[in-house]
Amino acid sequence: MGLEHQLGDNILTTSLEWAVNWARSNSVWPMTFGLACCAIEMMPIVSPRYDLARFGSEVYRASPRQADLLIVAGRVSRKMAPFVKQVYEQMMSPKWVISMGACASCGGVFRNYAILQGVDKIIPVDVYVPGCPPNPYALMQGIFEIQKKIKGEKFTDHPYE
Amino acid sequence: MNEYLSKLTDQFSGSIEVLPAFRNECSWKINPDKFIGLVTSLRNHAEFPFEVLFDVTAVDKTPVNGTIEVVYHLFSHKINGFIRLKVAVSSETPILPTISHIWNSANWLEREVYDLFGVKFSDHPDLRRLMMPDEYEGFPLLKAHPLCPQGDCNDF
Ligand code: SF4
Repeated sequence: MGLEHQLGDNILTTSLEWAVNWARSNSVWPMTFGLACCAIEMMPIVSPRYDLARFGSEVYRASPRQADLLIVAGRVSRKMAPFVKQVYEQMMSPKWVISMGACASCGGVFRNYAILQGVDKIIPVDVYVPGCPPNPYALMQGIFEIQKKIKGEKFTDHPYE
Repeated sequence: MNEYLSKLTDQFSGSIEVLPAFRNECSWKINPDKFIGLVTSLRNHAEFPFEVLFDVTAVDKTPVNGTIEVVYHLFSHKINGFIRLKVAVSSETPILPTISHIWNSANWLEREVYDLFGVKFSDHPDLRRLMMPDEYEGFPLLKAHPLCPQGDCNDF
């Protein structure tokens, strides 16, 4: 329990919240984690052509401990599901999840024995990006939605994990 | 037909059945009990040694004739030529001898065929599932296997 849990909402905590959310929303670092063809469309968002660095999310972290955002880019097979969950659990709170593409959101065209019918069956998802695969601009839109969401958050929304 | 194929066909004519060639690619059908002897002599052939095992796969022909057909693709650098071997095993007891001691690449290829078709390879050093989770039941590429064995793909 942090101090903010004792103080409740007042001018001090809400201004601090605003400042922290501003900082957090402009430094959303994604995890380096691609699962299938969607990952190919995820990679160029940091390239000069799309340049996510303009919005503070250019640093793909190679370790879940340093990442704030998990982009589930591609279909999740039943064999991969425990590892996706493990990566999510290893990330430090606060953390957010984008489910990228039809496969990660609902299984897509792969309605069969091998593919998880949506990653939200194992981890909570904040933003779904539709498409097969989504255009890099669509994924950037998803990251803006995450930023919007972060700006409206309270300290108490995130449990200490 | 290529020269190497006619020579090989003559040499092994006792143990093979030659299937119709498709675009100069020839297939042989072999009895399971003659299989190991034949692939060993192809591997160590003096004139055309088949050093590379390209692929091992299978076809479930249970509805047609009650067999699973295991297919081997061999390649020889020396003559730049392929050969395809087909071995049918019965669907009830699908057992074949392993060839992983002849070609190391057969190790994982046979595991894949075991994983998806349930063909057991006797004396294989490590016959575990390759792609499906270890606790998975059934062999998904068999015709009898349902698309979603849980009934509903959403059950997880
Ligand atoms: S949504 Fe389309 S592009 Fe993305 S992983 Fe599925 S099949 Fe591939």
